[in-house]
Amino acid sequence: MTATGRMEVVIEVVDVGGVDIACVRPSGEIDLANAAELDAAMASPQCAGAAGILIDLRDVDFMDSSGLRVMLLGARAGEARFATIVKEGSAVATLFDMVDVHDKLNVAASEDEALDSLRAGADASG
Amino acid sequence: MDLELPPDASSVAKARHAVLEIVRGTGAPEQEVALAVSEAVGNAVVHAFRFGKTGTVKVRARREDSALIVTVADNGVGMIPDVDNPGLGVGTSLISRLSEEATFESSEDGTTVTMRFQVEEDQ
Repeated sequence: MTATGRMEVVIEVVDVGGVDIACVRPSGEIDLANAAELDAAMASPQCAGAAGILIDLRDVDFMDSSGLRVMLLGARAGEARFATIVKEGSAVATLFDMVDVHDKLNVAASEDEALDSLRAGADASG
Repeated sequence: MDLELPPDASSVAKARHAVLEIVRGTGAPEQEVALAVSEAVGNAVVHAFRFGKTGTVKVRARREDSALIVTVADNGVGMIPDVDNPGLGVGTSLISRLSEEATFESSEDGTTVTMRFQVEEDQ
């Protein structure tokens, strides 16, 4: 856990078999003070223009229910366009386990699995 | 450890890190303590100071025998329904599940959340 409670977000768009997937990669800590930054990243033009959104939380050291709320709202809006990856044993994984949101957030075991899932969802929706 | 913080969002991380400083090395579950403190302070920041009421959030952490006791107290409006609730509504549930024991005391003078966490006997 960082000493500052800060978060940074990197967004990149990757081509997965001809489908654009926006990868949102926050790092640091997500709580009430900065959850809106994650929300803004998920609503960015890169995400809006992509066929799917991958939220990579493997470098997030801490997240509370403020961040989880943003994730759930994003997943509800994105439905099949949304996938998540977390680091096993991390604070984020503990939170996800406690609130039992793995299905709602389409949590994948790896980045490849998440990207394949998003590409398949994009292919299915035409 | 005693902290008195303003009811703004930046206080959540300040409280969390201050408590973690004393948790380290005690054997208390760091992830659970961090999340519980964040939820308790976040609840105070979001819900306690409505209807024009102002005040502070006090965070205290102390060792008592084989336990770490963390108290988050505000002098806000108390635990009354918040129809404009911007949260998930899981904060108090998480606090109860993360801690060995949690109590919530509420009155018109504010809310006090007391959380107890087990520490290692030989730490």
